Amino acid sequence: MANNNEYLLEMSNISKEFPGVKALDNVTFNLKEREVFAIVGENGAGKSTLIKILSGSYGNDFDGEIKISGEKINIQGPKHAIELGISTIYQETSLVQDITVAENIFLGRQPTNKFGKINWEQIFKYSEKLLKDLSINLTPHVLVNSLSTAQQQLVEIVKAFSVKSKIIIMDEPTSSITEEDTENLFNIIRRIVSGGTSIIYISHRIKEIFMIADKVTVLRDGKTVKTMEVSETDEADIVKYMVGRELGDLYGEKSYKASQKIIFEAKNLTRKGKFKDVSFTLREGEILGLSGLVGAGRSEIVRSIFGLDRLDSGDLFLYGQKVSIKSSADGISNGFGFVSEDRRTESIIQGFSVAANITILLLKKILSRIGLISSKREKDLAKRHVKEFSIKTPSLEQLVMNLSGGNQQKVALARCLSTNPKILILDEPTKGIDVGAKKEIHTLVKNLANKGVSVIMISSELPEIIGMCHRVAVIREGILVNTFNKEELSEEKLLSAAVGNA
Amino acid sequence: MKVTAKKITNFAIDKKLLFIIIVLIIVLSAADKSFFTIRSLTSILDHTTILGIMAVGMTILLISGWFDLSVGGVMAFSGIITILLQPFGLFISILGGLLAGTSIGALNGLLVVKGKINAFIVTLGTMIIFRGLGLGITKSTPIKGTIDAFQIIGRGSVFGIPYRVLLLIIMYVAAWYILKYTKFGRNDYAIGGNPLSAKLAGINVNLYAFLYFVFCSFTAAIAGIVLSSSVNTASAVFGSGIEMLVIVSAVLGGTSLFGGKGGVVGTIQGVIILGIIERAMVIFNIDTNYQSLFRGSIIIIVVVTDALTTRRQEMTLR
Amino acid sequence: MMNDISTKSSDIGFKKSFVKLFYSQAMLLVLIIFLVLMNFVSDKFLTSGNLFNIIRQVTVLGIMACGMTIVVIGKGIDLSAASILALCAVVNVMLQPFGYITAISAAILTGIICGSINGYLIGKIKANFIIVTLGTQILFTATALIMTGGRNLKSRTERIFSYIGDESILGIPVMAYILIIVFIVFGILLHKTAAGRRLFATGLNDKAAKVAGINTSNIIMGSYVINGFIIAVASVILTSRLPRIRVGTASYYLFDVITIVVLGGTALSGGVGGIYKTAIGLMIFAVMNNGMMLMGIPFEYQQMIKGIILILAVLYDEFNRRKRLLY
Repeated sequence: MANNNEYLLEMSNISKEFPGVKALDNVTFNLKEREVFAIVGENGAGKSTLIKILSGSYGNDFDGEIKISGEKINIQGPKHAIELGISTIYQETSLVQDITVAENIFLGRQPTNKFGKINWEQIFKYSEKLLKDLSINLTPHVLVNSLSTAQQQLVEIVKAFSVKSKIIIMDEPTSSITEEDTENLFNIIRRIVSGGTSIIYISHRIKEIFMIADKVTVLRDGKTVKTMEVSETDEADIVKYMVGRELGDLYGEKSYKASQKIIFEAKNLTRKGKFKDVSFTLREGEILGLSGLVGAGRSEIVRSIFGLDRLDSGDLFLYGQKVSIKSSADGISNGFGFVSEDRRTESIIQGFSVAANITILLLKKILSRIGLISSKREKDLAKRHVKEFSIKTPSLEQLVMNLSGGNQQKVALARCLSTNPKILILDEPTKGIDVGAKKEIHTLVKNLANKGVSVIMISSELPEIIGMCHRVAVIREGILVNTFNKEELSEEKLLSAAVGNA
Repeated sequence: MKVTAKKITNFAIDKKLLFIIIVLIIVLSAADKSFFTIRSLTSILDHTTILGIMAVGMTILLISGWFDLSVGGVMAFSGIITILLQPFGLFISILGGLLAGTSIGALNGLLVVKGKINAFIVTLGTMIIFRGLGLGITKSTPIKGTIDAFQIIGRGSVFGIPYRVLLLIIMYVAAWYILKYTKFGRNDYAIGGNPLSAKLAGINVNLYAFLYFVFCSFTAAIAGIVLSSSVNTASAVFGSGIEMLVIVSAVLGGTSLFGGKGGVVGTIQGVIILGIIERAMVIFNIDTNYQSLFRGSIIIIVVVTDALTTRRQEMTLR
Repeated sequence: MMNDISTKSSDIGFKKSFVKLFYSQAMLLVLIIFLVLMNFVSDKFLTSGNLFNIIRQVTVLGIMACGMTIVVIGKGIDLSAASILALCAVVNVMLQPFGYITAISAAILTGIICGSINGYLIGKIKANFIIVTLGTQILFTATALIMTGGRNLKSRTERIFSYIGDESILGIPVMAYILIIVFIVFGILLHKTAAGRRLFATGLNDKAAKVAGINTSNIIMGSYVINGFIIAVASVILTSRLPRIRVGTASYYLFDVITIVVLGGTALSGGVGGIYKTAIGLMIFAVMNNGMMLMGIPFEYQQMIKGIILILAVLYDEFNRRKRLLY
């Protein structure tokens, strides 16, 4: 049947909103047959939302139209997406570990004879053929759990290919594999593409885009900024499109400087597989930003400092004295405060009331003389904090799960600050929060710094980190690559360092 | 000399269970000559038949990631219904017993899969309910069967091999076939190994899970009928506590409590090992209370080992 | 800009979301309905003799339910509870010849040891709590059997036990006082101490609890040890009630205890519930139990009915839990 339309996939005017934030704003994306199309953008630009829509995770819950080969389609769910010819390969493997490669490829669609007996010979024969056609060096008989991540990824590709997917979406495929495997992966991609499949390739590694992609689209703040032929552009260009926005004056003047007194030093922090030889200093009243791509290891670094995760080697110094932090209780008693990135599950206890959450770190303070929890003291303490942080809640007994995201974050902050920490660690403190609450949190943090509290802040929003921090360290793949002072800060510089151009 | 030592070690590692069985037989026969008699060995197989039959169904359920604590109760209940229905004829009575037991599995499946209630609670509850029901129906006394022919199943034999052992063998072969050559069996591994993946691959996880619960109770019902047949009696306390042993023999045989792997070949070996141990405890006249102690320890060891050695995938659908 | 904070005098530790409030009010209603019904069923019901009888029947269960509540709030369960009870009772009885102080102390020690075994395996080694306690159940029962050789043992050989078992103070049975004291003491322990608050946190969300600096493995271990202690206390009451002790007397207690806890509204999923809720669960259970006895329902059917009620209670709890998560 002749395909009148030149495009295999057309996504038109795609918009999706979440409470408080517009993830995608009128995005248009057109994919041809036999094309490798890269999508790039910073964290939060909308890439994962776009993939989720295409892979069926949101069903109908978006605005806009999707057409395949000219026909409008209505993706009802992830299974339906696969039936329509769209396969997605995520960073986390979705194979069944304890069975063979071949069986994974044919999962759920084993060929049988008319009595229902599975024809294993056929399964292994077909799998072998597929692997051979794509020049993948694997035998179909091995169990998946004996394969490396890279090899498992290849199996997923073969699986997607074998269900005759027209479109395979790859989400950060090279994030956990070696260079050699990457080369291998690209060869296989080229082979698949020549066979008639198109690939949507999401990656932060801009260098790779030039190795494998035909076209590239840059997303920023949920909008399509530019779509270009890869041959007509270069890395610097792409980075420029990724960041090019007016900084705006969201953050106001910083009318104070951090002191020069160093209160904390990290030396050669290493955790196998996560980060290596990270060293930095922190001054009193300073806001130090940790920038970098998602998965670069920032969260892991601060969690190890705080004592939640282990540290394989390296030293921590507080006020010049070496300290040993082996648990979160240690972290707290050493004067650290920590607000986790995963605010909903880690920084607050959803089933507790506002008051219970705020006072959980200070149980000793709310005890009466005989050692029992005094509800009066608990209420007083909680009330003080609610007032100080302008937490909007109908009552102190309200369960935090019923508060808005912004207010939940405030509760997390209030709780964290209840111990009067000298060093505050914030991991993505304003992620997913509406603009109003964001500003409040920023003001709060700045005031704290002004009063002498030091802050280590992880943020993937470049404007935020530039506006808030005195200095910014960039982490790339577990290594601290560069540190910028306020004066030298620019989004392009940060992003370049994060992706590896600088 | 060295070569044989190496060969033995490789065999021990490869086929651990078979190795254990052989070692046990050798050691126990050396310790007590009466162990290695035909009578002794056949009695092991005999006693383990009931356990073995139930372990078939349990294995299949375990692979999918769920478990069933009600099998003992199902077993007793099926026996009771069978004996009660004997006035209507042998065929009806057996059919009725099978139906009764299997429908408990359907109830389990419904509550766990559709109701999304924890399998532990559900099967604990059904166990108590149907044991209680059994106690009530039989007024706490064992009831005797009225058809002599019924005993053939449990007691009869052909060419010296008891029918029940034949039944056991047939069931294992059938289960092996199902697990290897049918979608019903292969999807079991997928559902247990990565339920999300299975769902995306188009497998109707809910339906299959339900069927696995049904199947598990089905085999328990068969076991109940065989047991009742062998003594022509049904009692509501038959099989009290057997559920742990059934699960343990499967886990010992390599079927993980976390689902996704295992098989009946391992299970039968696990059953045999447990049978040998039981027989040994009898031969050496070990006090029944110490037997319990021993059993309890085996359960804990087996299960802790399974927990420590099995990698668990992060994705959970249940 | 801040909304007015209402100053409820209620204790924050009770975590009043209106769904949970609804449940405990519902249960209270159920209790009242039951009481009225029972009155119609049998005019023997509302006699003081019968009511005290009810109390005597459920004291052991009630005390055990306190301990179980604590474990369940920490997101666990102790399936070995009934066997710990048996073991403590056996130890108590066997040491009675040495005086009641020795006997009772030994029983308490036994309970603590058993609880520590559970607590260590579950809290520190982090093995699966269902399987561990199933296994220890077998171990503890076997130990008790070995110690008694399967025989019946004469209990209540010391005056104090018959005092606890039979006597009353001011017309109310002695064991009722003990029951109430246990509830009050452990209610305070659970709801009003820092450790109790930490237990709730651990049960609700152990990741967040860790971030908040709580040593979750110690807390969980502690919950099992305390449970062991509480069960030991219950065993003293048991030996006071029964003239003879035999292993297996109380094997079905476990199921009843779980039913009481769930009926009261403490969720098996952890973090929610409380001693006072368990008290309500206990009352409902007691009335139900007594009612079935007065109605002459055979024991086996009673078990069956209790099984159905347990499943229904869990279903209801599941339903509520889902509702709570839908925000």
